[in-house]
Amino acid sequence: MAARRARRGRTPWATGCGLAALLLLGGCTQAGEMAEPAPGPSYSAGPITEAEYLSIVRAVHTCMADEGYDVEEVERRTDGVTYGFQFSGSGTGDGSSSGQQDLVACEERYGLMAAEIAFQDQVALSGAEREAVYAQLVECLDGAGVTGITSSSTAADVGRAIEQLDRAGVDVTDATTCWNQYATQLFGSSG
Amino acid sequence: MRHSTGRIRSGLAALVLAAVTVLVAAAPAQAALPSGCALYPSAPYSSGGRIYYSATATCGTSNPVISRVEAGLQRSGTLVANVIQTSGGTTTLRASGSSGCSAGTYRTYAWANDKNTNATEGATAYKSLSC
Repeated sequence: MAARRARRGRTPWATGCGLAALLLLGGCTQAGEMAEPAPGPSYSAGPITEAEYLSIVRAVHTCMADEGYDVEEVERRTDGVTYGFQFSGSGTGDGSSSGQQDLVACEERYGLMAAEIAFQDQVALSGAEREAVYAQLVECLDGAGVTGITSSSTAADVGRAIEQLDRAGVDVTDATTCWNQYATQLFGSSG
Repeated sequence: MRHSTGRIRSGLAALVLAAVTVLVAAAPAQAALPSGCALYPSAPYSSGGRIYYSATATCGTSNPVISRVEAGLQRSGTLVANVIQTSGGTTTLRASGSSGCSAGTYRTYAWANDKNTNATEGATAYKSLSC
């Protein structure tokens, strides 16, 4: 787990909005309001490079730090394609919004959802490279007890196989780990 | 003169006390999961008209402190389903669930807590799922 944590932007002093804070600091933000959006990268549609996508993830990361959360480092996820970060704490808001709501608000500022979908679809493998990675997925799933998957199986086929195993009471933790590792490379945003 | 100095001192003391109170009240309620622990949300996938999602938290075999894992399914950033697993303290805890499927943009959002109420949250990448 990443050790470095950042904490930037508004200090905890500005969160209480109590009389003392008003007297000492001269005011604070209104309840539930996020800080003014800083200029930064944004995405709406079209091709996107990894650097552009990563700059949006980093902008969201900074936004969450500015909201008072203890954010861990931005890291490439286990899918080998996308980037993300985890966080803790309750932020410096007035408590009316949760961590996930604040994260979504930060993401919406920079268009992360659309950027992430577009980037995954752009980098999905094809040809011989895809066949090689598909063989790795099949081997991984086989080791996790999921059989019957071939290079012509669709994402839905793999999902169905894992789900049937789960319904049979088998622990599918390893199978979902396989899926997380290879699905994005093979199926883009639909995997 | 002495009287007014005393009033200033007591006023300043009250301000400092109030400031300390605000600082303590504003301190983060939770820290992250301890070192060696990790939260793994799994990307949602669709099968047979349902969407499956899960999250696992682990703390290593010698540190059985995971007490709660929650996996939530977000559709376009809004939580539409969730499932929670709790324990008195274990090394690995997994929460998994499913939800009715309609085409859209989904991801799994996850929370994990240890016995000392330390918590970490995070999410998978967004996925464009059809049913």
